[in-house]
Amino acid sequence: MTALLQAEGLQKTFHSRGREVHAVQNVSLSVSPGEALGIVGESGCGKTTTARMLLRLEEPSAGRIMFDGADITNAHGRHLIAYRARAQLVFQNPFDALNPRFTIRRSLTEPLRNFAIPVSEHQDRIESVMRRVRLVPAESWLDRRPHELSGGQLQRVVLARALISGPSLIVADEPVSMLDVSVRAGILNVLRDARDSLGLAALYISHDLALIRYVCEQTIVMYLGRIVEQGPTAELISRPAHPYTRALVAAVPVARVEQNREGLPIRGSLSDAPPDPSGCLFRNRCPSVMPRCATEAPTLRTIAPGRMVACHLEGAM
Amino acid sequence: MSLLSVRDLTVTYDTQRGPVRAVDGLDLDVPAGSITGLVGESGCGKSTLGRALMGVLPDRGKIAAGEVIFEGQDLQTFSASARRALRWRRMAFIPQTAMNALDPVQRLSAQMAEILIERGGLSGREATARSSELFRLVGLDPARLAAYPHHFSGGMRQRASIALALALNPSLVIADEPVTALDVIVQRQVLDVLRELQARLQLSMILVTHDMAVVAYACDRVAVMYAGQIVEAGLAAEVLERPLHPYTMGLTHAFPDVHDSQMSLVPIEGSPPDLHTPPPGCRFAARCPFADARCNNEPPPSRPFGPDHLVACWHAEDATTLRGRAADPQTWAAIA
Amino acid sequence: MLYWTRECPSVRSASRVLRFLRHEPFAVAGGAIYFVIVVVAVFADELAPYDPRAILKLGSRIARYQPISAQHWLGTNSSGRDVLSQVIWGTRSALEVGLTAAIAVVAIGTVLGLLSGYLGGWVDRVITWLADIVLGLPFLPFMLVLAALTHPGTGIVVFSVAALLWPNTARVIRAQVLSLRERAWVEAARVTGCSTTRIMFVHVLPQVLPLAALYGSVAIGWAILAEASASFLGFGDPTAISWGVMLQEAYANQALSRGAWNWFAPPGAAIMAMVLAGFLISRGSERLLFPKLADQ
Repeated sequence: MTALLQAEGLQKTFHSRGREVHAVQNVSLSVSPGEALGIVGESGCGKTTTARMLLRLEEPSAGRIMFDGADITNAHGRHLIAYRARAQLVFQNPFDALNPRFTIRRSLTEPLRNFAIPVSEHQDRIESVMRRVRLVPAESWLDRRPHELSGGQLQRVVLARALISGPSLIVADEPVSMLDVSVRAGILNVLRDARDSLGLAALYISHDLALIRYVCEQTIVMYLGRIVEQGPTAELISRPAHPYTRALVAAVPVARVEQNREGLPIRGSLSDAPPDPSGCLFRNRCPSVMPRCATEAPTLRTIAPGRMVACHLEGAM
Repeated sequence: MSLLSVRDLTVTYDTQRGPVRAVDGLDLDVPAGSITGLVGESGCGKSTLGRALMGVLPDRGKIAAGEVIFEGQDLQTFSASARRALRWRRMAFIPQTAMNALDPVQRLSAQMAEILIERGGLSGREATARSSELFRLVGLDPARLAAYPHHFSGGMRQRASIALALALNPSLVIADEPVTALDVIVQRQVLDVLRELQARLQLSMILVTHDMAVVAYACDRVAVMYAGQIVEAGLAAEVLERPLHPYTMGLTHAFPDVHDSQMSLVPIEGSPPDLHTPPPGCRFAARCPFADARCNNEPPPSRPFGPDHLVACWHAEDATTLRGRAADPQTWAAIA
Repeated sequence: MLYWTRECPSVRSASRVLRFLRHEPFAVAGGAIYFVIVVVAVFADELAPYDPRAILKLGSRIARYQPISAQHWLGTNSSGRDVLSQVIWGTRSALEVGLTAAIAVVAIGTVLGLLSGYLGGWVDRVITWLADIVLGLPFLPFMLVLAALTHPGTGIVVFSVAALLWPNTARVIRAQVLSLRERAWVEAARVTGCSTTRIMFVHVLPQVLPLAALYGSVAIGWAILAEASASFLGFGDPTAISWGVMLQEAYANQALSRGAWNWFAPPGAAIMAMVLAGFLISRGSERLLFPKLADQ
């Protein structure tokens, strides 16, 4: 299947106090209709910046973004609005994602108005999207304001707002991390159902591999702005190739008393990034570091069909 | 013999709509030398309980009834200053965000010294030595004592606030969601620090969390809280493997498992009851797929069920069959 | 030591504001003063015992410098006009000047603060630079020069207040917008296709209006004070009935040395009450708008 969204060589460089900070370096990815791709990594790994660039909320310093065959890297005005109608975002914090003064109806009407959808369709669209996120009957919710809703209900409204313009791509940035455990599953299920029944392409951003496993077939692991590994989620978790992925998988707690409690195969902390960015950025924390890692930055190479890793280790599998 | 024993504790808050019982007739035992996980969703009263135990409820909250027996003494009979003397020395607190425990404009060495000298009566030299020792204990370089909190990453700050809490050798540490705000690798490292320290210093710890996986990883015991009451409590292995309360069953199916391609997660539909007007029967009844007339009318008492396992559910006898049904999403969908 | 995070009140609903006002005697007192003044201005016709311009007679003589009496609760002035009636009618011009100036200040300050805070970049630099210059201009000389160059009158007063007072409003609005810009729902407005103009005026503006209104209440007092000063110095509209003109006439007729305090004290007190009301309201709402500030 041809990719719906494709990014090539995305870069984002911030300038702070005269220093260059490479938030995202040379990230390429693609998502097809009906496919869910997860980007996983710790805070500061560049996953959110990548998502924001893909949604044109942040301007890339370099690289190209293609959507449905068109280059939208520099789209603006009418073309940008057209892109926005088809690429929507689900926010992390539902308590802050809706205008506190707007009723739910107004928040849902806002995209319809902006994307010039005929007024005659508004009521039908609102009702069908409220059914999809299971806030029924719609009329009992539409005239409320955000402060009258719980976190789970708010996130359903945020989902409804994202779906109402009939997008082809949904980006979800930590969609359940601010929610109570009892309602998380409900939100994830709605997202999964929407993707299946509408054939959406989905991009999930999370620090939680377990969540990514639940919703994504493909996963990209990022570390300090670079992709270190990518591949089918289940394989990547059962046989991680990159030492960082290995540590990440080992660190995820599971709800079973019998589990591995050995020390993690990683040293130091995120702040131990090497000052000299020429080699591998993970080398100061890597349990299998080699002399070559300090001089030569590993590039992404294919190790099996669909699996890529950026590591010099031969037996990375 | 329990280090901490809470009997029939009720904490009320004054609100615009009248008093509300955030904690209502709660019993809890924390044995010496164990980590007890206190699990529940937001608003279930777990943070209020933590504050009440520490004696730092906000102004509009008060302990309305019940007793808190700590090291054999009823804390309710203590004066405010005796209570204050107990904090840090016998019981200490680790908040969710380390920035709430650390003073942003003081070097960590100064913050350590303040507690060690003023609360602990150590000399300046002793305080310096003890600070270094504490930093090593939590895996921080003692040279970093000269730093300010903002020089630290989130994980390092949380380690520093653990060091601060342990400064005066308390016997009980209450940690309120200590790893929730942290990245997964850092989270694991901080949990490991807590586990190691607990074992080495024979501490008792109450670890407040919403995450069953954190309980499974770090806790010996667990107490599940719902709407101001403990609905199930016991050994972590027992409760997680053989949950007796439908709420606990629901929680164990609400999380994705990284090593398992689950077909479907099971949400617990509905929301907790309004504690201004709690339901007459079981508080979970409205969200429970197994509730019947008795559940709606009579509050289930907490009763022992097997060794070291307490549950407040009328249907605990049928738990084995209910567990099977609770794994099926259809069972819970009927509630919505 | 242990810091328990405290919930901060935020501006949510009108009922919440009202509830807050009950605990805020400052703001309530300020509001009460405004309320009284508005009522007096609206019903000036009914309330004033005499035509404020009428030259009253006592027999065949002009009733100059009448002391306080049952007929003239505040006496009369040197031209035989009833002081109470003038004070009552003065509320109208005070409110006229105050409200127009306040609306102008709030409008200019809010729009410029909004543009500056939301757009950033060169727009922000230009507006900030302009605000810095304007803040450096001394008020009275500016107004007097302007009045001298054109026609003296209330128009000049309103214009001067608006031209010189907007930077205060613009600054706080800008700061507020800078923090609102980072809110997820503002980004959500972008994602859902809102134009920049729509985000600024439909989404962000309503959030900063309470703050703008607060600065407006201060501007009312300022404008009235400015009008009084201008009139007192002879740059006002001499035909108007205003508290400033009353003070000027009292001064010109040596009311002070005649001990005719019943002539100048009432308009003076009225001006003070008006300025005080603005201050009380802003002081009282501070805790509502900046809960953290009030905690310290």
